[in-house]
Amino acid sequence: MTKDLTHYNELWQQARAATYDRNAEVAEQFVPKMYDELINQGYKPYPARRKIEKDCVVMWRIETIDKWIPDEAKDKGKQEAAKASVEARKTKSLTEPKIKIFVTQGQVLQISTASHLSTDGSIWIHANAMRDFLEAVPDKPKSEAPEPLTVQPVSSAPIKAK
Amino acid sequence: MTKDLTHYKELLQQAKTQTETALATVAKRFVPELYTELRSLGYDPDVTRQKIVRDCKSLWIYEVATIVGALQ
Repeated sequence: MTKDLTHYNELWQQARAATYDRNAEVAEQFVPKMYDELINQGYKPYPARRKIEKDCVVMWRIETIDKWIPDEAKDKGKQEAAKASVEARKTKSLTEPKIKIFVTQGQVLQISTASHLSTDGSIWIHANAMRDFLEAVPDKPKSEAPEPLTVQPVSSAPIKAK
Repeated sequence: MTKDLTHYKELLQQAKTQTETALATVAKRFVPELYTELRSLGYDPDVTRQKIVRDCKSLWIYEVATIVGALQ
């Protein structure tokens, strides 16, 4: 016989909601007091928040705890998150493929991506810088335009400047 | 500066006690209803108890004691 658990699941949902409500009531009562006590004992706002989260996570959800943490501790958290994000972007930028440009007689012969520096006089710049550079250079008249650029795979041997 | 966490620990203990009390109240209200519903669907008593403990473990941290207490 197939069991219809619809009503049971509804009851469970109600129990969960009631649990969260009651937890929120207790958290509202205690989190501000605990926070003030830690600050009085010399904790900085963000470490105080972290300690309360760590100590109370077995009782309440993090969201419930943070709801009653003063803004000064939350702002610090946002600052640290933003800082971590900037660092991550920097790291990503440094590991992005670079572009190798071969130039002869004032004309670009070849652009290729590669993963190693060479000693053949070619120029290396970051892909982002190359994009900025190309966007900044005004279009030349057709008669002065160089040969079309070719992009070769990483493993290709570069064309030497004559 | 040496940190004296005595009062903080007292507050934490009070919070735990009140949380347990609050959860026990919720469990006392809902567990009998959950139990009755499952029994009416044909679940055996032991299976019913095990299912409620499993389903409610994530809700009530002090789960087994809280749930079993509410079942008695």
